[in-house]
Amino acid sequence: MKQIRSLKGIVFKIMALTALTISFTIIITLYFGAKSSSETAAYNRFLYSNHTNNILERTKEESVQRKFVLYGFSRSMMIQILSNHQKNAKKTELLKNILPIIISMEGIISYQAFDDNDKIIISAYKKDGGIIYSDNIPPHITKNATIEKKSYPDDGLTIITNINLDSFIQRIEDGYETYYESFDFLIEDVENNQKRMMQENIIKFFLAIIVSLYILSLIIKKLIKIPINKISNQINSFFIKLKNNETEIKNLNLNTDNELGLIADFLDSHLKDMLVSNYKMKTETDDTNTNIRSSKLIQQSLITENKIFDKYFKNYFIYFRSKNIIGGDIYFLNEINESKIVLMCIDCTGHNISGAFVSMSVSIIQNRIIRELKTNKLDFSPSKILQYFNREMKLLFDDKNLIVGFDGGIICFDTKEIEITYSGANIPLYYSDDKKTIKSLPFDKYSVGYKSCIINREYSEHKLKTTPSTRLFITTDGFIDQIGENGFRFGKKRFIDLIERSLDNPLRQNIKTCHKELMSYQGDEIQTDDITFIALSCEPFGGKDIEETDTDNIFIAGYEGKFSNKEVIDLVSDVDKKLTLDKASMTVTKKVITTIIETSQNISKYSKNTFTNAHIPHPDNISIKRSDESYIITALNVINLEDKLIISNTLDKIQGMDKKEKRATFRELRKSGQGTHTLGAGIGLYQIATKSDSIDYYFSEIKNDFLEMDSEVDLVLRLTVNIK
Amino acid sequence: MTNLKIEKTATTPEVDLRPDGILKFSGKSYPEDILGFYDPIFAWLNEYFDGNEQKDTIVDLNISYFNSGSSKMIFDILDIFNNNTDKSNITVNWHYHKEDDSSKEDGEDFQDSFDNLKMNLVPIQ
Repeated sequence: MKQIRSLKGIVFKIMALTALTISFTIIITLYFGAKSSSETAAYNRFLYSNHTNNILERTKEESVQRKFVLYGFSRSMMIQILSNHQKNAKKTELLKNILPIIISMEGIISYQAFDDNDKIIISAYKKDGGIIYSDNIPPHITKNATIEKKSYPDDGLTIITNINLDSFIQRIEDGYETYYESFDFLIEDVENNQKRMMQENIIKFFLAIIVSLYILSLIIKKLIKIPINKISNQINSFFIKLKNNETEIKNLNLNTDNELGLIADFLDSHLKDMLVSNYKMKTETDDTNTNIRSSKLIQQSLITENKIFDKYFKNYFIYFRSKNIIGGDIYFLNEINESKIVLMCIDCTGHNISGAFVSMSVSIIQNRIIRELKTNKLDFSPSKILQYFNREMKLLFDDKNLIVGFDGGIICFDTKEIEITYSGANIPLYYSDDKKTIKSLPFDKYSVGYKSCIINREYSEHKLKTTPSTRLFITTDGFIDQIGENGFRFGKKRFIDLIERSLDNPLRQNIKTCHKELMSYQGDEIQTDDITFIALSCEPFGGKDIEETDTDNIFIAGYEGKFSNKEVIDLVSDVDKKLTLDKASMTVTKKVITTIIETSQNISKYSKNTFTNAHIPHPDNISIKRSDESYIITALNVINLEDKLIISNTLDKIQGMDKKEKRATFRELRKSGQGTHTLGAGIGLYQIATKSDSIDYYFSEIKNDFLEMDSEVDLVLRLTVNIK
Repeated sequence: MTNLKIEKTATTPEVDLRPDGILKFSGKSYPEDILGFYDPIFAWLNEYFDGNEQKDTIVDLNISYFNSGSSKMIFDILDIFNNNTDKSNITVNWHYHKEDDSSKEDGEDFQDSFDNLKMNLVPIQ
């Protein structure tokens, strides 16, 4: 672990440094101030002792004292000053004021001073027992003053008994005026000097503080601000790179051994890793998503295609909406023989991937069941089918300590008897009777295949005679259990009410009503579970067989995907080449290419295919194949119901026309809106019709996946054009 | 009045319209933006017949493939000629490959639509 220098320590150091700088400045200022004169030093001492500093507040005496102190401590001077200023004052009082100062400097421990008719008598004791004044009084004083003193050698005491200042004073009065004036001037000068120095010192002091603060700010900038900026920039760039899925990021390399350095080191050692793992995760997620979408296709291939329903039911809908891309709901419709079909609607344990896995197992067993039913090894009985499922599921998973099973409903249709038999494991079968009310067949409140299920459990089954107006409704619990924004489930009552209300409408319309109602109930809530809701009308069975075989035809050219101008051009040029190779006649080539241009431009302009959804059975495509006697152009694209009406209308009209009529209509359409350069509706189809020998078309419903529910996409148009 | 010359592309024909009365269209016509392509042509033709008293106008049409939209545009161009037969002696030549019955039929269909217009079907060898 790297030793770090705490930032707190640095900040303290900076503060200490500042304090030190300030103190240093003060000391320097004071030192130089003191050095400038001894008087000043004394003055300072005086100033910082027990006297009032404020000039304005000084008494006259103090002022005198200051001056005295300033200009030497010679007693002579003192006396001079005293004399000068106190010609009219009582000398004793003055001396009393001044003496303590002198005395404190001379090491005198006690003294006495008194006035005796113009004579000042001072007695003083020195610490060392020595005496003062008598000897120390300078000659020019003694010369001018009469000093009497008494000595008491035994006591170590000398008493100055008499200082007669009269003559001294006289002398001052006589001739020292000039000297004292200049002396006063000097005092003023020094005082001004003092003031100026004080001001300078104050300026220096603040300058020092400013410089210190500036240095401090520089230090802070280098130590804190710059690293913090770098770190914040690094974090910003990290998030940008994270978003852009980049993996490279430059290291900060701050090389600072404080907390910020520690953060920088952390970022340096982790950001790149995080970017790389983010990249991996995203790539893997993409892979997973692609894989799940592929799984969806696999799962979808197991679910019965709509065209099988088309074969047996004229009027039906399947509302199949997984919670996730793949799920645990699955349904099968199988023909057992001419008069028997079976519908299984199954809700496996769980949803998403685990649900899908269970549904795969179910699908395998279902396959076996259908085989057994077809070979009469298993009775055509929904109860027996559930029993079979139950047993097989248990055999597969019982010893695996898993919770695997399903709820489901099995409807066996007997077209001869015009009746159905139903067995439900936790799933009811609703049906509408002649009085247009919704009823339900009883069902077992018992699941299938779980460990807790008894292996030979027999499920009850119930028969229902159907009429052409009977409608059957079966749903997994996802619909009824959907949680709404109010926090409550959609519920059985609401569900029954919903289907009852729409009994008069064709089922195809109902799917949208059901979807809208469920979505508005769901609001912003997430989908609770997978949903399978199948509605069938028991109109006479037997639709058309839409299975097609064109395996004998030879593929010439084609394109599948999004059609734009570029694809149209490429396709036209490709077909042109291929037809030349195929030795097609000029006329046929012309017809085929005109048809290709027309159909591909139609797709590029009008297709409702968004290509965002893998559930659309086919992407838009065009193929050109050759059979023995003709070229077959098949165009497939996504349309909506509105388009269906227009297209089927036009195509139906075309089907009833001979060639002459087609050409005439085409000419008429071209003529309509003469000179306005507007295009008549359907002119393209007539163009194709005039160039071809036959047109066939087929609309197939797009599997009712929830993604299409809100869009206008409903159908796939398959247009087949024959050109001989 | 200046020439209108448009080079051919994969989806539009070569157009060469000259004020001296020689007007040529040749190539394929199935542009994505039909009006964007044909509008300048209509504008040129209208200007041509507005100011020009050209004695003879010869129109050569040699369009191999065209979509229904272009078919309508060709119709509208022919309509302009049809309405200006009093201003100029107009001859329209519809060129088609001699083996291309389909193209011949297209020409016939145009012929049928304009009774006033002198329109020849010219087979290319």
